[in-house]
Amino acid sequence: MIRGGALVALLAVFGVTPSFAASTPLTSVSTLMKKLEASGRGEVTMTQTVISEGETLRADRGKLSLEPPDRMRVDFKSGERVTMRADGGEWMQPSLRQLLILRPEQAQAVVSTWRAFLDGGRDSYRETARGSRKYRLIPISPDESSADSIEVELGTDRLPRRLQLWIGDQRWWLTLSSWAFAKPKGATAFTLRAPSGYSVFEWP
Amino acid sequence: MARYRASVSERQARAVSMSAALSMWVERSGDRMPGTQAELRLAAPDRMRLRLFAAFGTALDVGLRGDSLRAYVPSWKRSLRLDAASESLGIDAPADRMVRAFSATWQPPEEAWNRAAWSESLLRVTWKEDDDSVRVAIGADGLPSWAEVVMGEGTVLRVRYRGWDHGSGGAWPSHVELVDNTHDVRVTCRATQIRFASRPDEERLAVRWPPGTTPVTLAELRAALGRLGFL
Repeated sequence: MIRGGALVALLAVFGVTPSFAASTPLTSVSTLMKKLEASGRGEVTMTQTVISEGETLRADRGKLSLEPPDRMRVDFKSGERVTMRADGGEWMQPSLRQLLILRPEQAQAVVSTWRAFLDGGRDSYRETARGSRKYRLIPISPDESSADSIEVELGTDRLPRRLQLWIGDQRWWLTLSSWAFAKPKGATAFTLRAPSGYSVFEWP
Repeated sequence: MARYRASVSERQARAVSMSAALSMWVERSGDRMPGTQAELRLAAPDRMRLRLFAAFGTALDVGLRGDSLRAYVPSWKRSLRLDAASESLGIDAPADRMVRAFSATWQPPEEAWNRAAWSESLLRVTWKEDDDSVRVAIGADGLPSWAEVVMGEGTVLRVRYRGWDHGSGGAWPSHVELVDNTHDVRVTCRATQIRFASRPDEERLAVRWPPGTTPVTLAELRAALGRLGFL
């Protein structure tokens, strides 16, 4: 399930890595990458909506945290949490009272996509300006886990404010507000532990 | 008997258009798989749709209509279309059976009641449906405790009703356990946000996929679902 293109694309869009400097950056995320590189950590409030054929499948609010080069965490208001690191990750689902463990190779698959995006920059995505602060990204070599297209809208601060991803018939809509940058907290802040009474599963 | 018939009639009327959020757990050969969230839609007598959700959208979308099955895995851009699902699945009238299982609308024919017998505080009623044998065990409250379909070749599908929702007036099964003894699979479903409407929402019952989706066989889909931990 983690192969769902939205998560991969999320990592791809928000990624930053020291090796980035060697490649040509995408204009739509260049300001974000610079700020992440300078501070080490970025946080943003997010609203997520997943729509299919006009029907809302999911609507959540939460917080997204990023630490280059390979850490991501989403804390939903519902209590659901997702973390991703190069050495693995976790997905906590209070409604099912379970914690899913993502194995390193599974996380690596995601992180490698992220790095492919970052290292490739314009070699991986064709970026088209659609206004002064709107960009459309199309993967040059799409695979089954990639989004068909991504639209990035920037705020006046040149940081991503809205994202739309199309994956098949699903549209994934992310609204971001109140970006904040700080010193990194490290891997422990991106590791989840199962509360008492939770079942723990290895991701199949 | 009268209470059972009345409650089945009530549920049959509601099953014309029902939707619910499901939490589902699959147990295979005693090993419990990770749980998943899903949405169930029923349109009695023989249409249903089940969508299993991933973190960021739909993991699997399955629809049954009469003897046809449609399945779509958005993240893999793969789809399956079976127009004679009963042959491939080895279950007669799969949509009808699944709708009856989820709505607890097992309706014994009149003559079956004459042979009904009490055992372990449950009234057991048995009847034939083509090559299959159907049994339902009814509690003193007029609600089914379990139902069982024994198929011609010996496969047994058992449905246990472990909990009921009374929030909308009548009783609706909210904790359902499906057991396939032949394949040693147990699926536990807990329903919340159970809603009824006067007519089916045709748009939301249909499983569709966009152009460019790759068709797969049932065997390929099963293998894919196995890797995802659903089967």
